[in-house]
Order: sequence, then structure tokens, then C-alpha cells
Amino acid sequence: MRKQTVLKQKAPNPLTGHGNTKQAINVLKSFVKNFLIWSLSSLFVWRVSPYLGKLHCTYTDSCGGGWIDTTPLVGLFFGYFFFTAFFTTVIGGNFKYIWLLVWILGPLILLNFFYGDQGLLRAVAVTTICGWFLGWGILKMKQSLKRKKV
Amino acid sequence: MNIKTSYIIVILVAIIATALSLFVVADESLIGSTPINTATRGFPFHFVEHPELPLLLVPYESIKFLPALFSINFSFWLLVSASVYQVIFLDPGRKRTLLPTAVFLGFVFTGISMGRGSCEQGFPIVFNSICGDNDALSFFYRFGGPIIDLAYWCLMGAVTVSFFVWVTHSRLPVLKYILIPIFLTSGSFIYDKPCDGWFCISGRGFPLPYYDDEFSWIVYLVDILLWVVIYIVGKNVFRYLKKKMGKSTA
Repeated sequence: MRKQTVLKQKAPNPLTGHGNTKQAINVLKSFVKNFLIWSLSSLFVWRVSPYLGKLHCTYTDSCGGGWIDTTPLVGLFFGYFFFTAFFTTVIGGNFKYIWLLVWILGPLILLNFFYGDQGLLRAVAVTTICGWFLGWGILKMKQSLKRKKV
Repeated sequence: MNIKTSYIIVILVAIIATALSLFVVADESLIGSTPINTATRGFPFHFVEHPELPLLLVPYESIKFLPALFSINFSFWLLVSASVYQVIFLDPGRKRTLLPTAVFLGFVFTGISMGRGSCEQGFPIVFNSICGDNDALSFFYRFGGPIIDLAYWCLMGAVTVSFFVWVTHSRLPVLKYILIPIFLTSGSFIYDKPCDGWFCISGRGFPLPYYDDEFSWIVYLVDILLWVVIYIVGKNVFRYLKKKMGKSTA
């Protein structure tokens, strides 16, 4: 009975009352941390995109052709999805997977890939999963090392 | 934090935002009666007009203040700051998904604002031109433009999310079953899948394309009905899965 009343007091009224300030600060903190990770990883990818593009073009022959050098663009494209998934998984704060969805799906819609090339969409999915998987492996390793130390 | 403090914070933020919008200088006034050699300031409407000089050199008498537009601007920023406050501090049910949803909508709105069909891409700041005259844009517009545009549309995303929260918790919660499908139908305008396969109706819109050079009200209404069904079914499936997952973890 007592527990129920405590819960009732804590429940926020979304229009007139107030949520838990601590929770709101947690949400804000998670936003700031994940946003910083996203910004820094985007900046990192922007800087290394020519090299990533070259790396990609070395193993595939999909970069040849026109008079514009698309190598950095290819690097930027694949690097963004790979490193955003990787960094967010390894060092992301609370609700990192929700934010990861936002960072991946948001730009995808922004770039209108939803009605673009289906192959490109598949490439994005594979790149993101690879980034997440690598990050997840490192995270698990980090956690097991921590446990061993304790 | 009590209710009075939150009101004070929201009003203060709105005042600061309105004041900061004075840094936005436009060449043409939206009211359309600006004399030549006049700079206008304020966002979204320009509520201050003055001679085209650095603001500090303009004598007080030559500043024209437009109170009606100022009230609209202040109301706009009040709405924005209240929505952001709602999204951050009043997340109902402690789902903590309002802020990510607002940011996601920010990306979607930026995408829509980029694909307006004209040469210029981006709103409120044009940062790209698809007609080949990109050199006319300065460095600030090309690199700062996308960031400012995204921030602006994230704020609009917060307003949208906040509106739906308000509808959900208002006295007529059933409204959300109409308003959310209308929003999704309108948003599906960005879906423009190229025509291939055995069954194909070209145009913009989802599930059925309602715009193909001409807008079809009937298809639009059918889409809304389909979204109502998708929304109700999706919501119940999500609720069922959540319940099942809760049971399995308990």
C-alpha cells in the first residue's frame, strides 16, 4: 500500500505537473554525451574520408569512371555509418542504441536513400552492423578485463 | 523544480531567443513594404527595420519597431521553448524517447526542406544549390548552414512531439488516432520509390502514392485510413511484445 502511494507521487503529470528532475538531467546528459560522440566521430570520418575511400576503392572497382573523384565521398559515406555505430557502441552513454538509431536513420532519410538505390541501403545496413559488431566485441572485452581486475 | 520556476525559465528562454534573433539580418522584409537601403532583423519575422548601417551607428529615431510582428515572434519562441522544456523535463511515462524522436524528426524535416524542388537547398539558411551556382555561397553558408538548419528543424521536431504529447494527454486522446496518421501520411510525401516490378503506381506517398504531378485527395484520405490501421496494429503489437519481454525478464 505504502509502495503504491510512493509510486503515485513520483509519476509526472505531462501537462501541468513535473517529471523527475534527476531523470530529465540523465536524459540531457545522455543526449550531450551521445551527441558529442556523434559530432566527433563525424569530424573524424570527414578528416579520414579520402583514405577510407582509397581503402574501399582498392578492394572494389566501383570507384572508377567519371571526371569527378568520388573517392572521398565513398569514404565519407561508408566511414560515417561504420564509425558512428562503432564509437556509439563502445563509448556511448545511456540509451546509446536509441541514439544510434537516430544517427543512422536520420541521415538516411535526410539523404533520401529510402527511395534511392536498394543496393546502397543494403551496403549501409552491412556497414552499420559491422561497426556495431566490432564495437560490441571490444565492449565485451573491456567488460571482461574489468571483471578480471576486480 | 516547481511550476512557477518552470514558467519563469520558459519565458526567459523565449525572451533571450527573440533577442538573439535580432542577429538575423535579412535583405527583404516579409511584410513586403521595406524601403530600399533598409536592413531588417528578427526571425521568423523581421520586427526591426533600420538603415543599412552597422546597428551601433544607427540613431535611435531611425529604428522602426513593428510590435505586431514582435508579438508573433515572441509567441513563436515561447512555443518553441515550452516544447523543448516539455520534451526534456516532462517526458510522460518516463519513456525517455521524446528527445531522440525530436532529433530524428529534425533530420526528416531537414530532408524535406532540402527537397523543395527548387535550385536552392536548405531552410532557413540556403547551403547548397543544385543548379551549379554553388560558388556564390560563402564558406559560412556552406558549412554553417546545414548545422543551423538541422538545429532549427530539431526545434520544430520538439514542437511536433510536444504537440502530440499534448493531444495524447488532452481531454480528447482519441484525436491522436487521427492526427498522427495525418502527420505520417503527409510525411510520407518524401517517399518516392522508383517504379519497378509487376505492380507499380508511381508518385509520392506511402502506402499509396497520392502525388504524381497532381494531388489526389481520395488517395490521400485512403492513405490516412491505412495509416490509422497501421498505427493501431503497430501500437498493439509493440505493447504485446513489451509485455512479453517484461514477463520473460521477470
